[in-house]
Amino acid sequence: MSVIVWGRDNDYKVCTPYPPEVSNGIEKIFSANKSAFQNLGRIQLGPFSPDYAEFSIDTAIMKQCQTSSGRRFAVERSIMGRSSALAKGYVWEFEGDTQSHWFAYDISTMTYLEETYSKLMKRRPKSKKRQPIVNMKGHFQMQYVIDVEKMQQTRADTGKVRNIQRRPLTQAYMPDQSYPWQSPLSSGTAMNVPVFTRSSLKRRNVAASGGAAQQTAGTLASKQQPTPPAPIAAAAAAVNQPSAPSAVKKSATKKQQGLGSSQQKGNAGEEREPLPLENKIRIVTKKLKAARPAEEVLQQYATVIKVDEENYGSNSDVDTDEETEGQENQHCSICCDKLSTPSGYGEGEASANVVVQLKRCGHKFHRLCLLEMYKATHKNESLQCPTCKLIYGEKTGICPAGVMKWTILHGASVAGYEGYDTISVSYHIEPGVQGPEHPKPGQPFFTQGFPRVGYLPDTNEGRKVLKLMIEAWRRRLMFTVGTSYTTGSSDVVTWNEIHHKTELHGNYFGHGYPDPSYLANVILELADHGVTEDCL
Amino acid sequence: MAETSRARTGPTEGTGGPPPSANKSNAKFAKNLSTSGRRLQRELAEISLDPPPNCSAGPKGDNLYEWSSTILGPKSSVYEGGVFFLDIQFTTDYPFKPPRVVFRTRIYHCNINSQGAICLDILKDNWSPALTISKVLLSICSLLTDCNPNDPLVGNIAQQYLTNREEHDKMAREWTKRYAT
Repeated sequence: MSVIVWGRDNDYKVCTPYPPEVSNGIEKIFSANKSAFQNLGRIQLGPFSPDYAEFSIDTAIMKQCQTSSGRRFAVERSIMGRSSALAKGYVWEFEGDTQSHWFAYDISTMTYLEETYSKLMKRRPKSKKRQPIVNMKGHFQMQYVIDVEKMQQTRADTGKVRNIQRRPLTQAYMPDQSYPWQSPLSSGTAMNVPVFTRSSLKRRNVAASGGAAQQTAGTLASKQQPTPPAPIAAAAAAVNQPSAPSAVKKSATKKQQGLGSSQQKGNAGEEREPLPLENKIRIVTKKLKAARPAEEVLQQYATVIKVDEENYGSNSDVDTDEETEGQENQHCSICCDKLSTPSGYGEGEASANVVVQLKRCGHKFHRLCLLEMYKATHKNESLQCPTCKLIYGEKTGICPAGVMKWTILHGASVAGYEGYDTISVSYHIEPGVQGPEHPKPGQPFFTQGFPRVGYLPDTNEGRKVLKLMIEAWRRRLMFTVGTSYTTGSSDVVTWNEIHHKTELHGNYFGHGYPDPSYLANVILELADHGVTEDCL
Repeated sequence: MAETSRARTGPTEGTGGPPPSANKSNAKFAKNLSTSGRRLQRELAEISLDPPPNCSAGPKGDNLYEWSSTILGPKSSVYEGGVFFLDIQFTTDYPFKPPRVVFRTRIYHCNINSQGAICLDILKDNWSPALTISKVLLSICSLLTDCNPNDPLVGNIAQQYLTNREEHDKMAREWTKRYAT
């Protein structure tokens, strides 16, 4: 079960979680007020925990304020996936300068520590594959090497060693009820998984049994109030239970019935766009197949129109209707040099004079410039014209492996689409190691705020967008690895210019409804990536 | 209370020269250096001769990969009268990777956060090698004239823009006066 964790930025602009009693206190106020939250003014944190007596949150600006110093730090609400330490009921801490005075790590570091730790625990004690070292050098401006076996953190430049710990929480964080694939309706949908790997199979069973165990509680919850956080021990027990095949089947049938009824529901008068067949789409990162040489790819999309200086004039007359005097001054928009002069990417080589023209849009470049551009991408055998952005071939992205799921939230409407159900689309990506297609191969990448959930109205247009989003996800275009503009941290998985509405109620963070132009805009954004209705 | 976080060293600042680029052989690095450098020289010549309206830009010192820029708040916008400083960083992968552009001057804008980060598609995935720093600055100017509250970086400013435009404009003018004049 994922949990909702409130936290605030520390001095390094990375989010550090509040302890459960404070986080849950804020969440209760947040869920009771939703979009009116920002009008509440100040929330005192003192009543939740005496340690926070001099802190308050200003909801209008979403900052934590300290009474004595006046210092302010941005406050964040994150949903932590079930594999995160906080959802499992543990917190990672490091020891301060005074002994047995512990401080929590930030959420991102914690995610990475937990990942390494749980992998370590799966190995036999003497296995050579055990890897207890987490190298945080270069991430979030930190210079630390952390050993999750010895439970020590060493600062690389000074050699200073601190103790760290993975401490069980005394109280659980508030479970996230809006997390669609944990809800009783969708807990059994693992049946549709197209790809089975050993680890995915294992995870599936765990998810299914966990979901089934919570089925009754969840059904009640969806009708009334959110259930109070279950004791951690109970939650852990549910996860550890062996899978119960009968329970899985039962909930799966239930899900299918649920789907069927939603399809019938919209039939009053209008023709409904059918829903996509699959509701759980897993992408795996395969080893890139031996890519065709760049030259060959280029040949497919562009024609050579000028081989060298001499026959330039004659050939270009044949190929284009443009004025010849203009051609002499035409620039290659990649190197900004004239097409009549050699490309900057082949100093002194004869091939630097070769000019090519893209077959469909007709834009011209130095052949070497275009080749260099292709090589700077992840060599996916597609090419995008730098001038007009026309895509040749099928554009694919570098999104890491993960799972996308969607489900219908019955009876929930987003502002502006009253009377329609809502489609909830969620993505889950685990942290891992960057592949050859990523900015820093071999280095770890981090994930923040997963699972991420977006909402679409269940209108015909909304369903169309859902199908396009599934296609974009399959093409690994939905997320990318790089520097986050929101948090400033590097090597994190970020959205990739296909916007999602991440707020179901209200528009508090500016990523919600109403936004009448949203569906039209997102269709354009998908088209920018080459994903259009023609692809379906 | 956990306000006292670990002591950490700051980011290691490069001492002149282009930014280091990992996982590249030296030969390739040198090649990129000469071509990206040449293109930057061209852009510098162009922007010095014919700068976009209300903008100027150029290298900070003798490092061609570190520029600074100024933008004058567009006329009849809430930023009118303000002078905004920006930092521009290029990599040796330029123009295949976008430059990093940040505001050094505080600005009250829903697509620009307190760190100066700008949420602009062409600085991210929609970058194209055919774009130049001149065009980027023009896009930033138009972002100042028309913000995009439906894809905000600073949620509460966007919210205010949509629900209480008057107050938003007042704040933006106040900030322009306080930080940018």
